[in-house]
Amino acid sequence: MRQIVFVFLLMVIVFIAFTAEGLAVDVNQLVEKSKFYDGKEVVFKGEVVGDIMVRGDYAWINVFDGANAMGIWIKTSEARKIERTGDYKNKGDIVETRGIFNRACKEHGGDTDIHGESLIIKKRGRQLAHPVSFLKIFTAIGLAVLSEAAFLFDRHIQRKRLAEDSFTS
Amino acid sequence: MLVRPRVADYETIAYFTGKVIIGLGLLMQIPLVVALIYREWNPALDFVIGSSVCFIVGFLFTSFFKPLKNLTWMHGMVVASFSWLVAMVVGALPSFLSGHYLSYLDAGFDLMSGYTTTGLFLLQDLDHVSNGLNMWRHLATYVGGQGMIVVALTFLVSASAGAVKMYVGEGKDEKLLPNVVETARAIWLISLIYLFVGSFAIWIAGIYEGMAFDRAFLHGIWLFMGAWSTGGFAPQSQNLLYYHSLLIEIITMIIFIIGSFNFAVHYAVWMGDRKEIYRNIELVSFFITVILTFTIVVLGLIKTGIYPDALIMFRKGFYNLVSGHTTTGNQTIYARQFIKDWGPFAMVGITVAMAIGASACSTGGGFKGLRMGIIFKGFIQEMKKVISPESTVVVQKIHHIKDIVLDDKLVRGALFIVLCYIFIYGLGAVVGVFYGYPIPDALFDSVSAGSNTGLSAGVTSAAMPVLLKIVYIFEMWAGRLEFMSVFALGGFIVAGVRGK
Amino acid sequence: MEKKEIKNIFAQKQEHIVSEYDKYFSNRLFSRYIPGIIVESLYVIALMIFAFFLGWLLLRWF
Repeated sequence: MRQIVFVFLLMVIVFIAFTAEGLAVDVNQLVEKSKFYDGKEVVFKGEVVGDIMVRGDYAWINVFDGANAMGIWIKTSEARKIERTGDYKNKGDIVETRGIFNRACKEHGGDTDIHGESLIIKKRGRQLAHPVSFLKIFTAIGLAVLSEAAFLFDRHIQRKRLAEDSFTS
Repeated sequence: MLVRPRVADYETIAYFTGKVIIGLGLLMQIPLVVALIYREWNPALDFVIGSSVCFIVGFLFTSFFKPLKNLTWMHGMVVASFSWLVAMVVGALPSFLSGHYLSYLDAGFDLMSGYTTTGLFLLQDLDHVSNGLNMWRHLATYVGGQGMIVVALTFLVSASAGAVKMYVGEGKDEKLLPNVVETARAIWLISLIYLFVGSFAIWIAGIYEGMAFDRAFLHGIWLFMGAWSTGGFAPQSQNLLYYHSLLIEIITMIIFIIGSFNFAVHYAVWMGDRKEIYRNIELVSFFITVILTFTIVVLGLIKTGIYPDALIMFRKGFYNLVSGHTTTGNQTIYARQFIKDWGPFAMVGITVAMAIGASACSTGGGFKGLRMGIIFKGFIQEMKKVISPESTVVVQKIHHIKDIVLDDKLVRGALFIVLCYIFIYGLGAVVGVFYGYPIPDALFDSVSAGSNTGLSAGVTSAAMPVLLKIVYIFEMWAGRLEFMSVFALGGFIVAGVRGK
Repeated sequence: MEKKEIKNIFAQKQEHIVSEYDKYFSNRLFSRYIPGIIVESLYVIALMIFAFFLGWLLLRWF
């Protein structure tokens, strides 16, 4: 009896999880259990990186979850909400998207992707500061001077060698 | 009897290694310029530091050590193998300073992977890497594809009798032109012309697919460099999956297949010998092995049922297979999907394809089509010998630029190198299994490293054991140099310790 | 033979090599490079088409 109740409760939880919330996932989970998630609605959160590639009414964005990135196919109007995408100088907007996960998308040549229905900006991106330390500047200057000295020294030696060679032969 | 090397031998090796290191320092000026253009001050300083160290080490080597006039084969071979190791250590400096690596070993791993056109990487957070560092990674793979020594020969080392010995030590034994320096220049010319054509094509495709003008330009150059040198690096962590574009996939596929051709074949075709394209034994061998391994992959994928239609099969199955076969390593799927979605049978197909690899004297790795052709023809010859009367002389020919009569020496040489490859593949797999990775995964990544491919089934990561990283570095290095110069270096060290 | 003569012969040989390189590899953009690139690309495209139909055929059979 207890087992039946347990199974029933489990089913209810799973049901709720599917219908109400969608499944919160990361790329690793999706790839590891791709068969399970295939065709299901998932909620995927992460930082938009690289380009927003507009292809007509829809656009591709790539969302990075901290370990891996996944392509999301979304309405161009939704993608326009994104202000900043991640690269060396920027931390991109953190977005949450709800959509259907495809293990091998028939529409997109077998890509593993998510067809997003909605996109919520969770947190705006920002510029990343890359402060330069003085130690690095001094090291660079010091080494550059040393390398110039090494170059001049080498030229001196090579000329001497050349002179010696022509003298002996 | 082992002869202990004289001081002059050490000096000669150090001198030419110094030359190669100076060349490396010159190369670092290119990413330095890119970093300055994009106002990336930290990476720019990294490259100033890196190139300065290269110049200091290089010039000290060339000024303190005086080379012998005549290089022996031993010198040439040891210079080739030793300078690749030194280049790994100093080349890793700007990468490590970027802060994207957890240890110096990881940075060295990536550099060796770049030079040897492998494409495995341990870099963290690739999506936030500076343009300067991305340029350096891809440049390393582009230059490594043509060969460090080829670079040094083109710019720095004057034409001497010893040049050819270093050139051969790097695993390239074709002479396109009678003079080895001219050969090096011809190799560069072919690569540079393709660089213009290929980068331009990807640039246009990138803009068409919705990328920004200047980003598409940089991605064009980088993707070209990664594909042409059969390296497999790409500027984003998703590799080719990032672009979601059939067009870019097709262009890169064309580039890396052409990039896997023997430079002697390029030369012959460009000289007007068009028939070479379907008569050459390597291309015939490549065609046959691609079709056979692709059949295996398709059958495996049909069994798992993941790719139901022909276009998907082409974009996923064929792309990754050919990427493996040409030892490129550009991926359009996630690493773990090989294990999870492809299944063992399709993985067998792709592992075999990686093991066979590209053409000899190309930018690729693996057994090489030429050796496969020689071994196959040698096998046919033996069969013919058995069934024909004893007195007949069976003559078997292979066509590689010109007709070559097959003899036992040729077959033995090919078999020996293939055996060496099998040994390093096995070595990496055994170490991988020792650390608890499943056999298919360990074998897949080990073959990938040894054949300089760069496809990964998920074993290669910054978290893997240190010993396994070192074994992979060794595999990449030995596989790229085709063993002979590695043996020479080993022999040299043994002679230094135990010789008389 | 005089040392000078030997040097001369050597210089001639060098010249010969250089001219051979020049003959084949400089300023041959339209006559050499582009046809070469086209021929090589055609080989690859043929291979890709062949593979595409092989995949299609195998998918239909099994």
